[in-house]
Amino acid sequence: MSPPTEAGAEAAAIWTRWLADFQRDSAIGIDAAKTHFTDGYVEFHAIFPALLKGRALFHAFDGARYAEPEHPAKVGARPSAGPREQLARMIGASAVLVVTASQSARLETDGTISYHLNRQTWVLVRQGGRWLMAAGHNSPPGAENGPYGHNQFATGSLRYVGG
Amino acid sequence: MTGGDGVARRDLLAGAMGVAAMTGAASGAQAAAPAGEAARIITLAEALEAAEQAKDPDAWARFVAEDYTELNGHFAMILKGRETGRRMQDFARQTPHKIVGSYLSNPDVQIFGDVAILCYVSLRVVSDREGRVDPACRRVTRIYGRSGDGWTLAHTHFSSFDYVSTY
Repeated sequence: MSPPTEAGAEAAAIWTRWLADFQRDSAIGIDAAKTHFTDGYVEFHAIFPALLKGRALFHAFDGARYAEPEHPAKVGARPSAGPREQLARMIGASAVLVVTASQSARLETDGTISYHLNRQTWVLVRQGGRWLMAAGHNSPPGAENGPYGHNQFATGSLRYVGG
Repeated sequence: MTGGDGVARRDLLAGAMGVAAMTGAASGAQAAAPAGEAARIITLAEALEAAEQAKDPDAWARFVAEDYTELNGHFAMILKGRETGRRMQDFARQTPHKIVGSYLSNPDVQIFGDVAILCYVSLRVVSDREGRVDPACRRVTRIYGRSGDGWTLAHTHFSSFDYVSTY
């Protein structure tokens, strides 16, 4: 892997600035989905099987999903946020790719602490002089166990014996 | 929890699910085949999946940028570099599993200048050592960067459906 480059530093700075703007606008009640996301924003989300597409859908879903520790508006703001690995790089001159793996801790109602590992992919694109979120993918590790992306321990009704 | 306009959370969720249902219905209909560069991106992804099915790490690596990164369900960390990905493909050759069939379902391509975002559900059928056959579905986001006249894969994020949320 290449050492950090100027392009990587630029990408990280763009991401940090976008995140700060998004958090600020969310906090003061501005429609952050409208001002910081593309019209055709797409996301694969951890708990929803289909592709979420369109800023309107994001907006409708946002009230519920904001409760998640890894929502962009909360990243870096949670006192329970744990170690984070983050790679940011430019794709051409008008897109930023951000890839993260992070851990967070949560205080459960029984007083125990649970740890959660999560990974995200974010893509920012420059449109009309502004950086907008165009795509996201958010998932925990460990759900796929087989070598080709299948869960070899699954015993669902779709399983059958070949031959 | 309420939304900014006082709408209850369950209503927000119901609205989201309703839109999602409509989206699903629309995607289930016969859609026009993507044209131009969008079709080219889909063809590249199909070729990459074909290389995986053929267990050909070198063919796989030809589509991938040197600073390629990947998030998948097998490894918790970010996989960095084309060589790491190629090694993972090489390891797959040692397993008895075979990809019997592979299909890109409902691919969605967006192109912004020098970046292309491809999202799809990968529908696969995999057979194991005993000949048992399993369906293997995963959600895939691929990020391509323009490279000369073509496109090179910069990043992939895979995730599966069988995750139960703890949130």
